[in-house]
Amino acid sequence: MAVPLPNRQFLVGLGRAFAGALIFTLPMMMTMEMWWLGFYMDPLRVAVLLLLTLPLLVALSRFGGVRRTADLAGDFADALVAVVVAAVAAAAVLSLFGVIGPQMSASEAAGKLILQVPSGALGAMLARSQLGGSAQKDRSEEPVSYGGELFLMAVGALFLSYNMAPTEEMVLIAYKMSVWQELALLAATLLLMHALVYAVNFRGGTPDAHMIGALLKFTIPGYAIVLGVSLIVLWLFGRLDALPPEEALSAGVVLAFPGGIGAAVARLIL
Amino acid sequence: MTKDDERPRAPATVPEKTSRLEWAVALAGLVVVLGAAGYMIAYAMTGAKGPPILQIAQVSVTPMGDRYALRFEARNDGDSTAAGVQVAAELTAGEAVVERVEVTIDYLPRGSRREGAFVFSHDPQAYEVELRIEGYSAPCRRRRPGPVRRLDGPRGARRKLRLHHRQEDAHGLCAHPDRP
Repeated sequence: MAVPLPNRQFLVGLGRAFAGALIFTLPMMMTMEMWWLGFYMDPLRVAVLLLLTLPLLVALSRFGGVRRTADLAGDFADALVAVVVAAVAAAAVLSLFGVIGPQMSASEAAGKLILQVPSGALGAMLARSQLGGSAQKDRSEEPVSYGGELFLMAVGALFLSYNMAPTEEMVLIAYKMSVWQELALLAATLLLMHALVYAVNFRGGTPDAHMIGALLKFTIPGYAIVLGVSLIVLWLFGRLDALPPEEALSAGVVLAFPGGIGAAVARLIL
Repeated sequence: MTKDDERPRAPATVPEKTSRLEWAVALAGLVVVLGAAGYMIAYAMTGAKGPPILQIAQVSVTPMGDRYALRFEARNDGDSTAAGVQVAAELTAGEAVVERVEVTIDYLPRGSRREGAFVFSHDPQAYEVELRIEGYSAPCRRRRPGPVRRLDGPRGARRKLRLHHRQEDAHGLCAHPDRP
């Protein structure tokens, strides 16, 4: 083939990225709440969502890594490529489904598309690194800084909570739970996160393998990050609008349960 | 990003160069991000705050078995989305209403069109047809639920409530017709 090597690598990566974007977004593209949010979500929040996604992807490229980028500009390019892949994949699939079509206004179609971009881009980026060849293997053995670890936890939390926050059930579950059940859920989340975090440290055999140390260093700050991510995602989707603070917090605690598991598992996978 | 946060790089592997093709795709990405965000911000700024402006028009009449389907197109030229749009069609002969059919459109987003059909047992072509928009509600957002929110009534009771009050059920949540 006459395609020069760097381009060839890029095209192969692009194919993987499409696969990743589809795996990550199909559940959301086939969820009707996501379509509805596309047209009744506050357009400013849609813009905020998109503008927050970009730095997140750049940072992910830095820490998680699609390829060994030479500089920040390379990470930026990777992030933008992931966005294009996610947007194209979403546009193709949603028009196939008839979820977007010519009878819709531009703002409706744009809203529906943009909501799929963050998770699609995340999937595209991870696929380029995870499904990559052996050249990427040594990547995961590099030590990641503490800030990087916390960041990866935030990404894991974001992925799971972004998938679940659009549904009605998050707020409904919060209504169904008593305060005691919410506290128990919080404790269960911490316990599960800690078990996973501890397992990671144990496997790595780092000095942090101490139970209490890992608790203070990863589990507790990790949970705070997860809860923050959950509340941000709920707010973006308008799920917290006009909720009193205690109900908003309980919806956050509910969403932090899957988010926390996502965060802890992200450290295992990424 | 602080220097502290940077992943240590093994000197053995050479950093991959960003190919020209990748830069081209990245540039397209920049256009997508800035364009979409800019569009949404502009959309929010140009006062998309007005009410829905709904219209309904007849498209065609076709026989459907021994009945007649009158296809219609409803459109929303306003600035906000209407939910649970109630549309009705009446066949009249002089003063007398011969037949009346109602249809609910789940969502009619701003600037969009939706199609549907009224199904009559009389041939609409033989009568005067009147199409009307009878009502809509704002798309439901989370509101502070009422005092009954923690009570789970009997299922039948809740269903009934849903029928009369489509947008919120006993939990103060949105009830969607597509959902059991």
